[in-house]
Amino acid sequence: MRLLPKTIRGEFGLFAVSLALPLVGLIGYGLYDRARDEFAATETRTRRLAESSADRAAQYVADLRNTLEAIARRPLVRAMDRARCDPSLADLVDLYPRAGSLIVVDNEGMILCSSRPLPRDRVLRIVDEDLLREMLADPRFRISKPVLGRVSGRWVVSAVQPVFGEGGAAVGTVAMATDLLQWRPFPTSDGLPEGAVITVVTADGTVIARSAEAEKWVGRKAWDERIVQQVLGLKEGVVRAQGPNGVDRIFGFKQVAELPWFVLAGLPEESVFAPARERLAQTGTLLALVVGLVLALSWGLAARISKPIRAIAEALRARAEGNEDVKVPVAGPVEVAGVARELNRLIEASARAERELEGRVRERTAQLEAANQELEGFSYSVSHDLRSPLRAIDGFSRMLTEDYGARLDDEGRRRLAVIRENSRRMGRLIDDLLDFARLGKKPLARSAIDMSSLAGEVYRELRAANPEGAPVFDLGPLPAGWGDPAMLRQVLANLLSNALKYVSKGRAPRIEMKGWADGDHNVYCVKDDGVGFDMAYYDKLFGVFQRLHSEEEFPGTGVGLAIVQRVVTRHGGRVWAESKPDEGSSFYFSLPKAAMNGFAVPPAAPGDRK
Amino acid sequence: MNRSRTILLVEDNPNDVELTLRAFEQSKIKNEIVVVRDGKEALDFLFGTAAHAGRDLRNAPEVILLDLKLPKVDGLEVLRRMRADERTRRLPVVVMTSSNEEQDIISSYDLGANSFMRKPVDFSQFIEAVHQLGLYWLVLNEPPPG
Repeated sequence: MRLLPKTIRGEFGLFAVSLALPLVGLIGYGLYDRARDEFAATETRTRRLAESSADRAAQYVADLRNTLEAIARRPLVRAMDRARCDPSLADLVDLYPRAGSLIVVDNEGMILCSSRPLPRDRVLRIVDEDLLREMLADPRFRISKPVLGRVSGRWVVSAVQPVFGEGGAAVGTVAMATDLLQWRPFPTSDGLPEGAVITVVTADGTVIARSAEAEKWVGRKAWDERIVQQVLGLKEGVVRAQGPNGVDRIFGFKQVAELPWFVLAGLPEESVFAPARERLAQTGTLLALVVGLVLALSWGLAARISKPIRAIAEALRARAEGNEDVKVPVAGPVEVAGVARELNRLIEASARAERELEGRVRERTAQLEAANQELEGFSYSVSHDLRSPLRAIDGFSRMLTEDYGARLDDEGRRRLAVIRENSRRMGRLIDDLLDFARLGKKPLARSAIDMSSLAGEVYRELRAANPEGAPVFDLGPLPAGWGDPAMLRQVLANLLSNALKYVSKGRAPRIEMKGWADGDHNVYCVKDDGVGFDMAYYDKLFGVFQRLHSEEEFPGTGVGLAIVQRVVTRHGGRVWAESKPDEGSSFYFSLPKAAMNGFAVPPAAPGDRK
Repeated sequence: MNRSRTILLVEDNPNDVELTLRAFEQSKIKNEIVVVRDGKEALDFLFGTAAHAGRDLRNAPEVILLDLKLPKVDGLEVLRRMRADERTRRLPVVVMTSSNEEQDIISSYDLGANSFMRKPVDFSQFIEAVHQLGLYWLVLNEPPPG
């Protein structure tokens, strides 16, 4: 199947498209590859961000632990003396810059001292009881869940470190809260790529730090816990997901060392796709321009070739339709123009040949017409000038017989009779010859003919003119004929009179006429049971003035069958015969069916048949 | 009726003239037969000119037997001139000729011939034809009033 017509334009278009397609493919693949690389780079970047933030967070916690351990080891703290601890704790806070607000509680959770002034006698359960219980059961460094601070009203996490007494048993706990809004374990903000958001969450998805909009998100659950568990079960990696604010992002994630905290560094997918899309748009536009230009060029090039070719075809068509003044326009590329020039020469040559041929035809026609005229003059002369002397010969012979017959003896009268007989015979020959000559030039006036009734009619006329003998005439049904009625009547008359002439002189003389269809012709046959003829002389049968029997035996001029042949041949049919001496003859002639001439034979009306 | 009951025979061939006269004779036709040998003489006779000047034109022939092949003025031309002239317009003309060329037959009738007869070669037939002709044109036919 072809999408384009098989024209020069079509071929050029196909060529241009087949050039453009791989180009488009290559460039498209290049764009895709670059986008993929960028995507991978973005993934790597998010992972790095996540890792670096996780490291910072871990480092922070490690520092915190060191600080708290150092504080917990202080004798003043270990003494768990409420009266003396506050000033020393304030000193320690100065000593350890990370220790923001420090408190020391006993095993019941009672605050012994605080870096900030607190109502000392009040039992303030700043540290939640679950954490305290865990500390009693297994005293070691811990980090609390994010809680809303009771005093500050801010989200905090508390780091707790057991204080071991002289006996080595835990006697209390040092706790230090970290204000989560202040805690930013992220690379400095100018180190963050545009649109990047880093979030630190706990295992249940609660946000504990965020690089952007921290006030809004800290303390809230950002993701469904299950999803967080599922994704973060991997500890580190990259994932594409929708962020809590509904933006599709690429997230690199990493667990903070030894803590149930996870860092998610997200970059919006848009940041990758937007430039890719922009590049695609730019490249696509450029590509479309280039392809369009190539197509337009090839279209124009094709037109430069095909237009003169079309003009040539147009001119040749006009020439073929008979316009002899047509010149093929010589235009276009050299090769096409060359073809046009050669065609012009060919046209001129053929026109010349045509003119010469026409001239020759005219000449021949004139010659033929002249010859024809001579022939007509000849036959006119024959009919006029040959007959007059004959009439004189016959007439004067008779006058001689009438006026002087008595003075002649029998031999003299016989010889006069011979003269008269021969003059009459020559008269018949001339008449037949003229009839024969006329058959050749008379136009055929064809119509449908009921051959059966025509044959019957002709036979009756012949019998009426020559009533001797009584042959049986067996006339079978004949197919309808298509031809000149007068001429075909002549054909039937000649054949039937021949049959009557030659039919056997025996007891049951018989003449048969039959007809049948044979392909696109109808065949008619006239058969007699007479003397027949020797097929060795068949060649002479249909010739003018050719006779196979002596005049004495069977009178005739020898023109009858020649007329039959001429008429039938002019009708597009054929004549032939079969015979054996003394066994009769069969004469056949065929006529094309009417359909061959493009006419339909009208069915014979009932009245036509006589 | 002031008619001569003449037959005008226009025929150049003396043999044919003789044969025709013989045929009339044998047919027992006694009418006067005027023989002219060419078309010009025929016209002279009909219109009373030249050799026939002074002829009483009221004595128009009963019938004219006209050959077509004639010296000087041919038969068809004679016929044309006759039919163009008021005096001879209605005279019965029988074209008698050797040929039966279709064109001659058509031209003769077109020019107003009353009959067309082909002279048979067989003298017996010729006599029979002349007999029939005489019987018809001289006995049966009613000539134009003149």
